[in-house]
This record gives sequence, C-alpha cells and structure tokens, in this order.
Amino acid sequence: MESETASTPVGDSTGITATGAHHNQPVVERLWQGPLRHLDAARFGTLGSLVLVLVIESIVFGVINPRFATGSNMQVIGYEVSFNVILAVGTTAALVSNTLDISFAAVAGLSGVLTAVLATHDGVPMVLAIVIAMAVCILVGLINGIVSVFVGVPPFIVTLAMLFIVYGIQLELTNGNVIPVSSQLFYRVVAGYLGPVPLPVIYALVVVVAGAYWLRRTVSGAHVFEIGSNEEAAYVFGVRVPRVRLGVLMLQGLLAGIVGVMFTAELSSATPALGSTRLLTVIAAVVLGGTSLFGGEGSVIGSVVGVLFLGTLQDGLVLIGINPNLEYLVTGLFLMLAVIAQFLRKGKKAFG
Amino acid sequence: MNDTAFSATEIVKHYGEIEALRGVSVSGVYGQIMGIVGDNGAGKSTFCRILSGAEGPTSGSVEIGGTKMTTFNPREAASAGVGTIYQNIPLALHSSVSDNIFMGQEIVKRPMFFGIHRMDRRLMAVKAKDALAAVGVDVDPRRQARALSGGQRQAVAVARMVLFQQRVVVMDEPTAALSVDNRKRVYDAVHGLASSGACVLMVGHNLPEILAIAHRVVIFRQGRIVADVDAGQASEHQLLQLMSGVKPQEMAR
Repeated sequence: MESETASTPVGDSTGITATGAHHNQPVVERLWQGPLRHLDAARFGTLGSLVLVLVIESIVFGVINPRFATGSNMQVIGYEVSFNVILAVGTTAALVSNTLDISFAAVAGLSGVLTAVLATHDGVPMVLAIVIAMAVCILVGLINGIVSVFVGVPPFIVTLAMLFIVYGIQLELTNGNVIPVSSQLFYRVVAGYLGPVPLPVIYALVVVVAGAYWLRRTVSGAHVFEIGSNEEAAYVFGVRVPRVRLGVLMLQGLLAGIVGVMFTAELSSATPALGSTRLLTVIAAVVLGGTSLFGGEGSVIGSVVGVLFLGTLQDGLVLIGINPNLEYLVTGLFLMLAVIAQFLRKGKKAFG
Repeated sequence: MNDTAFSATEIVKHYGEIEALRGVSVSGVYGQIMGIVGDNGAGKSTFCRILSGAEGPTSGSVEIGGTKMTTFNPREAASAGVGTIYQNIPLALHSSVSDNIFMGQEIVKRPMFFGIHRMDRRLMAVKAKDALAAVGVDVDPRRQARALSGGQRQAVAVARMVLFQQRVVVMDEPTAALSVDNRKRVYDAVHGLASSGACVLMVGHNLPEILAIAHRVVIFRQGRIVADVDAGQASEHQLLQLMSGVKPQEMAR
C-alpha cells in the first residue's frame, strides 16, 4: 500500500466519499474536481492553446479589416464551418476508436448527387429522396465496416477503395453534369435562415451536443474510447467490438449523408465530387483539436474548436487581402506543430 | 450441490500445423487455487485462452459450473462465471479506472434509444472504490488508468473479479511484471478470491511462489497434462523434472 501511494501520488485526488467536503473548498478547486475533472492538464493545455490562438487570430483579422467582425461575415463563417463540424463529429468518433475513414467526403457528395438525381430526374418526392440517400450512405458505412472488421483489411485501405467507388457512382449518375434542384422549400428548410442564424449552424449544434453526449456519457461511447485505447482488453472484457466498430462507420456515413444534402440545398444543385476538398480539412481540424491519431483520446468539443480555427483562418486570410493559397501553408504549419506536440506528450518516437 | 467449477474434456487445439494442445482433460473445484506450470509452448496459455473464451478448441468440450460452452467467446465465458486476468493485456489506459473495472458490464442509468444507454458513472465510481478497497488498493476510480503503477493495474483487474463475483478466475502470469511488494498484494487478493469460493487458475513461472500459493499444481508438457500434484507434497525439484521430462539422475549431471 505504502509503495503504491509513493510511486503515484494519489493523496490530493478526492475520492467520491469526499463530496461532503466540497462546500468548504474554493470555487476553482470545486470546478476542477467537479465538471472539469475530465480535463487532464495536458489535454486542457492543447485545447486551451488552440482556443487562445483562435481568439488572437480573430482579433488580428478584426483589427486589420473591420468587415471581419460584421454579422454578415459571421454568417458566412457559420455557414462554411457548420458543414465541417458535422463531418468532424463522425471523424472524431472514428479516430477515437482508432479508425481512419477517408471516404466520408466522397460519401457526402454521393448523398447530394443521389438526392438531386432522384428528385429532379426521377420525380421522387424530396423527403423520400433524402431518406433513400441517407440509407445508401449508412449502407456505405456498413460495407466499410464489414470489410474492415470481419475481413480485417485496415479501414484506411477499405475507405480508400470506397472513395473511388463512390466517386465513380457519382460520375455515372450525373455524367459529370450539374444537376439542378429547383425546390425553394428544400432550400429554406435545409439551408435557409432562422432570423439571422443560418439553419446549418443550428443543425450542426444539435449534432455536436448529441455527439458529445454520446461519446462522454453513454455505454457505447465509453466503448469507443476503450476499443481505441486497447481493443484486445475491450474484447476479452466482453465489449462487442465488431458492433461498435460497425456503428462508428455507419454513423460516419449518416453524418456525411446529412452534409451532402445540406450542400445540395445550399447550392440548389449537385455536382460530382461536391465537398471532396473537405476531407483533409476535417481530418486536420480533428487532429488540431486534440484527438489522438493512436485512438483512445479525443473530444467533440476539441474538434469543433479545430474546425472553427481553420474556418476562421480561411475566411480571414481572404478578408485581409492575403493570398488565400497561403491557407494551406498555414494550416499545414499548425497541424505539424499540433502533431509534434501530441508525439512529445506521449513520449512516442519512431526510433530509439 | 456439485463442487465442480469447471471441467475440460479432451481439449485439442491446432494452429495450422502446430498442435498446441493434444487432448487435455482436467477439472477444478470451487475454493481451490490451481497452479498451472509448464515450459514455454507447453500449452498452458492456450488452455487458459480456451477456458476464458478468447478462442475455441479444435475439438473437445468445456463445462463451466455445469453449463457446456458452445460459442467460445468472452461474453459467453463471462456469463458462465469465468473471469480472466492477462499479464499482457492491461487496461484501456486512456479511460478511467472505474470505466475499466466496469468495461463491458457498465451500470446503466437511463436507457435512451437504439440501444444507447447513459452510464451511471457516480454509482460505478462508488462500487469501484469498494471493490478496489477489497483488494487493498486506494486509488480514485475516476483517474485515468494510465496513472496507475503495474501492481495497481493488476489489482484493478482483480477488483473486477471481486465485483462481478466470478466463480472461475483465470490468471495468466499475473505477477510476471511486478515488484515483490506488488506481487504480495496480488497474492493476498487471490487468497481472498479463493476463500470467497472462486476457483482460481494461476499460470506462473515462479515455482516457489506457485507452490506457496496454490493448493494443487497441474503440469503441462508438449500440449498434454503430465501430472496433477498436491502443492503441499510437491517440491520445486519434482516440478522441474515433470516440466522438462528429464529424469532426476540426468538433471544432477
């Protein structure tokens, strides 16, 4: 007993029996042992510094070009960011479970194209078209899951193949053309505004709250972390590993499908490869937000901050008149820093 | 009431061309600590993996508490009362101690939809704290498992067995990576488990320790059980002989 406590100091951590004593403690300490107890210092540091950079970034853009801080620019950013936020929620769950899905952006495109083709060419009612598109996207996730879980092919490879398959289907469906969607109602309900707030922002908020709650508070959410941290332990302890892995990839498919429909509504049309440039942006944002590339660690909130950071950067660089191509350079530099920090924190090195 | 905790009959296991087990039959009774020894590759770990449902046998049958195993997966074994502690499968290190103790058998607060359940983390922490205290470890169950020492991590695994009252506990070299102090802690916990009525199977390399803790020692050699001895009557020397199959005169040389 003595040696245990000596090797890892646990004296200062409160047991659950200490709830009675909380009333006499300073507020900060109570917060730290209560709502904030999940934030270990290192993770708080990563997320905190990203929030700080986001704030500084916003102030700099705002000072250089006052148009940055206007309501209409916030609407532009909100619109832009909400799509990536929804995609990032799925990617966070996937990466936490140690699965890298690179087909989601293509799947989003497929969903948009399917909705448009069904509604415009085949005369299917819009709601039914959306439901069919969602079902197809979930099916794509299921196939990704079956091949990676039951055949044992690494998810990265499976979803790479799926990316091509899905893109091919889009080209075949559209012949490479733009498919217009004329429904005004569709635009207003999916991509319109509620007062000054773009509806996609509200949808993204709902997805974020649900996703964060699921990952942090529920049994299957805990299993996602445990599988990512130690799949073998989870299996021998009776976690239904295949089921959770399939679920994560199907969720990724569903969220991509939702975003695809939102794209199509926003543009009132669908084209092949819609949104395919978002693949790398979303993965970068999730990693910037502190989700581990090794599985077992990550948070939806971190990913949201990561997406906000990159979205603001993209918007701001244009507004202050810097060549927007620099966006990639700056994103890359930040990502490099974030990944180096992750490795240093883990003490992982490829050699030695 | 039947005292037989488990019985394995004519277990054969092949990995391709390799015959890991060639017809192993053995049974254990409740309250008994059974030491399992043997040279590397003798089949002890394979036997443990089959008993705990991590793998199925090529042929043969296993009964746990009178129930015949059919699918050989960890959930089936766990529901029949088998708990397993592996040396090389520690915990999910990024998750909390209490999440680890309850992994796969979480306490649910509120069923939601599509089989999504909210966990009762508060109650889990309280129960985890009690189970940890029962094996003599004082750590905050909400801490990340990563922050624990090796001995504490094994103790967390034992606490799991205590909490779920597993009747057959398989321990594959639970103390191999531990310091002397930490070993003693694990052995105390194992005695506690056995006196509460569990049948404990303990695989080990450290013969004096196995002889000291076990009631009975089963010796594996080349995929078979070659001897089943009373730990009180056997010597380390005898065990070595049985493990290697070498006659005492030859060993003396």
